[in-house]
Amino acid sequence: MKAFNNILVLENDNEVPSYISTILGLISAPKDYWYNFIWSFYHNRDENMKRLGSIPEDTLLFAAPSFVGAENQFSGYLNLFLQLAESGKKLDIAVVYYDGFFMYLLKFLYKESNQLKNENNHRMLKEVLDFHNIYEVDFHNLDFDELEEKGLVSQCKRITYEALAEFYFDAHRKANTKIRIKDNGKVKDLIHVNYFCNRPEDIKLELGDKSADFFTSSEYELHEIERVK
Amino acid sequence: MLERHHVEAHFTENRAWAKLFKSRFPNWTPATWVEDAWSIFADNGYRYTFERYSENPDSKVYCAVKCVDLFGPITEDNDDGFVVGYGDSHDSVALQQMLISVICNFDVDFTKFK
Repeated sequence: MKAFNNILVLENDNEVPSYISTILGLISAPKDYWYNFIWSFYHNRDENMKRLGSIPEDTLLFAAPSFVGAENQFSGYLNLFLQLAESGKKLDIAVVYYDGFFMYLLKFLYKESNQLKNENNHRMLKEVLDFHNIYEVDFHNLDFDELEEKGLVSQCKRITYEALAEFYFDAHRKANTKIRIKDNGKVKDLIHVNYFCNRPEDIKLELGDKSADFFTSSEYELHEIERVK
Repeated sequence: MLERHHVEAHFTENRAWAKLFKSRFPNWTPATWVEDAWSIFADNGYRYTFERYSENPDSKVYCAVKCVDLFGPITEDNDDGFVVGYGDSHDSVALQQMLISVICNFDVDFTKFK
């Protein structure tokens, strides 16, 4: 695994949350802090793009982002990191997100019903995940005792588009996604996906049953179904 | 004010738009972006309407645009051509903001534009 000799903390506020400080306090690598991160691009984009472009390869970026507010939207970050990818600058980023960054990305991909925009969200996210190394820090299961010896990234999982695709279901175009229920072999249309959970294993699907001439739905968990190709 | 990196962000967001716009205006500048971008829409049969909160030029809210509505070619599925409307902008930037929103929200399919 790649060794990181420096950590650059990206923080939109003027101070780092305490749970981030807790993690950083257990890592001896030199740390630098980029406060007011996303706002710095509104005030001086060129200078700060150069700053991002000159980050050494042995530096791990570490962030606990929030994606709320008009100027702090996830799509803005996606655009920023895609522009870096287009310029050839590869970054390693470890992300701590309270409800799970992997689940956040699935919800981001799912929520867009405009087909063109949905496809574009997939394209942009795939290009960012393929080019950069983005790791999810599972704060709730982090082994703090191992942080110094093994480093942070060794305990993280790199997020790939392929991993997300395993748990992504398109319910926007009705009757286009079909699901087979394993225990009885019945094939049903996918109506809705419930991504409001913390683990991909807890994702539930709402399926339609047209055989009775009226709409009925039931929820199935992922292990009970398979996609019909 | 629209700057170069704003326009480049739209290109990153919508590749079909980037290809279309750059093919028509390879030497584009931010200063003429709005009229250049709109000309592409107009050449493809699009028009827009503008509704102000007040049509009285002496009104304090004369510059406030209630909505900018985009209309495209009339089709079997869309007999008035209405595509999308965006509200609440200043008249100096209403068209610009509508264009940016349409581009970044994929309200039209630029692969079908000539």
